[in-house]
Amino acid sequence: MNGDADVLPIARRGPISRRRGERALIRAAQAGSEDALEELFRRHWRRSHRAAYLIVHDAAAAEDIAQEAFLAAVRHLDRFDRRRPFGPWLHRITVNRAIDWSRARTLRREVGFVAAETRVEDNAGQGSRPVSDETLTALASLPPEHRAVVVMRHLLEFTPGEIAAALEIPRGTVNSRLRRALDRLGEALEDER
Amino acid sequence: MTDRRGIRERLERARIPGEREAEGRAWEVVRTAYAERTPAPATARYGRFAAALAGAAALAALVMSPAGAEVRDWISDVVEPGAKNPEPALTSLPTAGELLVESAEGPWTVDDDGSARRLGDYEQAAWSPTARFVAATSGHQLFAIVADAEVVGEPAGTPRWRVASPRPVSDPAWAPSGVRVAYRAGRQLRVVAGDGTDDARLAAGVSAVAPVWRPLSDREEEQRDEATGIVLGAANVLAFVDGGQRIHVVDVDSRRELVRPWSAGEDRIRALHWTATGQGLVIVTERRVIRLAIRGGRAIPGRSYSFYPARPVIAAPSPANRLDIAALTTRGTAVPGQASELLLLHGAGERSLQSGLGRFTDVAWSPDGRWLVLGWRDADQWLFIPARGGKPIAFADISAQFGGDAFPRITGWCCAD
Repeated sequence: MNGDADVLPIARRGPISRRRGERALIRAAQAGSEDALEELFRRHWRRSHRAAYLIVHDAAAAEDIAQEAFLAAVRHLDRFDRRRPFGPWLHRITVNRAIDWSRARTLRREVGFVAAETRVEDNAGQGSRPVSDETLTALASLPPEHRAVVVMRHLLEFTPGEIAAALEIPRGTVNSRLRRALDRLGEALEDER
Repeated sequence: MTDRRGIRERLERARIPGEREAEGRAWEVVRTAYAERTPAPATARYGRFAAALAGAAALAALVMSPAGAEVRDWISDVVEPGAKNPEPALTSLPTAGELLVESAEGPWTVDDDGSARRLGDYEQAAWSPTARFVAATSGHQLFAIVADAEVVGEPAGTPRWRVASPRPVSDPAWAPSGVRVAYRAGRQLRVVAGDGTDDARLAAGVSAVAPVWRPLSDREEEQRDEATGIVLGAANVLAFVDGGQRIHVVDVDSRRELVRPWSAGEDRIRALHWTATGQGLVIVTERRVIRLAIRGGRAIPGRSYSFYPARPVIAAPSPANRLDIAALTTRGTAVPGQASELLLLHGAGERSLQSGLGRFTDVAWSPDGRWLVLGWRDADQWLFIPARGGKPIAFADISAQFGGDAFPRITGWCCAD
């Protein structure tokens, strides 16, 4: 127990101090500090961009989507409630835009074209097949809404309740999508081997 | 794969094409947008005492800084941001025309009697050439919405047509002929007909700089149909900046490149404008304002203006005089310590029209070229300044008049009749 008592405050201190640091950064960015904004950007860009790409599977669109999420953040910076965590708010914008984009692409029947484009990009300049190509291929077999819940749960670390709130769907739907998506991913990855 | 840690590891390791390059490009765009944002004015949020304190602190900081000697000269009469004794509310424009304004609540039109009308829940907006319509963006959509209810015969704010895009839409620009609208969809530059049909990609991989249409010649302008407000048969020529920072000038209808692409070198381009005659461009880079003549299929750089240690923010060529350019410059990045100046760049040199603490965010010419409207964010004021000299007319509490806390952006002043 004593050991736990020693460990727990330290384990908690990490995220809490990070959150405080983030509040200070947002305050500074609201006051006009470009350095603070850059720190926020560097902290959150990679994950936001990655989430967008894993949902849309189109490099140019993922860049646009993540970029637009940050631009929306800049536009609304002055009205941002500093008590709220910045990352989940940003990622929620990114994921919803990525789902919208994927739906629009489906409607435009561009799936075949984009899939081909993605394959070329994935292999461009690579001497060997990237280790996690099979993950992308397996994810591509899922509908965008299912990809989104997998990405939100396992990359962005949202809870099912947070996913439900962000996507405005019932929590039961989140759970069932997650379960079906993971089953299909497991099957797809088995087929790849 | 159903193991949670395993999934996360796979998602973290999946290779994203061009990940590092995308981060670099995105940061440039975000940084530029941040530099140009119009946050809520300090006066609204912290009260006049805080503003006075910030102003005094800024003045002290400037005077004590190594660059203070230069700065002191042009802010010596200003301690608190804003013109003295402004009118309490916008009651009229000093000359004929109508303003288009973007606020956090959406675009507004302002008549010359000062009355303002909100057009709806949109983001960016641009006038059609005769101010009958406004091209407006909302997320992934471009709209043409009615601005002049009397002429069009439908309520202002009514959407006339809509184009949806899989990518976020921005920077709408309506061609002077009235028959084309250009806009950016992500990194694509697209053009749609003035009736919302024939949406097509003009270029891919363009930079985050708004495209600009060449003005019509006087002869073309005489062909404008009064009933429809459009000019048939006029050339629709668009200038834009590609991802490699080269300026292109293209006849949109034939897709022919009219000018050999031109680059400003390492100096990143932030905005483009045509001169009133359409015979040249004015370019705003991160450090300079450059005149560029267009002759014989070539872009020929002319005079370049540097404002060091200040940076140019906006340049607006006069609609009435091919040599006059209104230029906004700013030095400093945060509200305390930031100072701005409005300059008139003319053939013989430059003249200061207004300077002050805080950030000047917008400038636009009246259609007759006699007045400039200046947005002074940190004072929450608009100033109407006679271009040839004279006392400015200042109006206060601008944000509140456009329904929100954030200072609105002046998009354009239309139209000369």
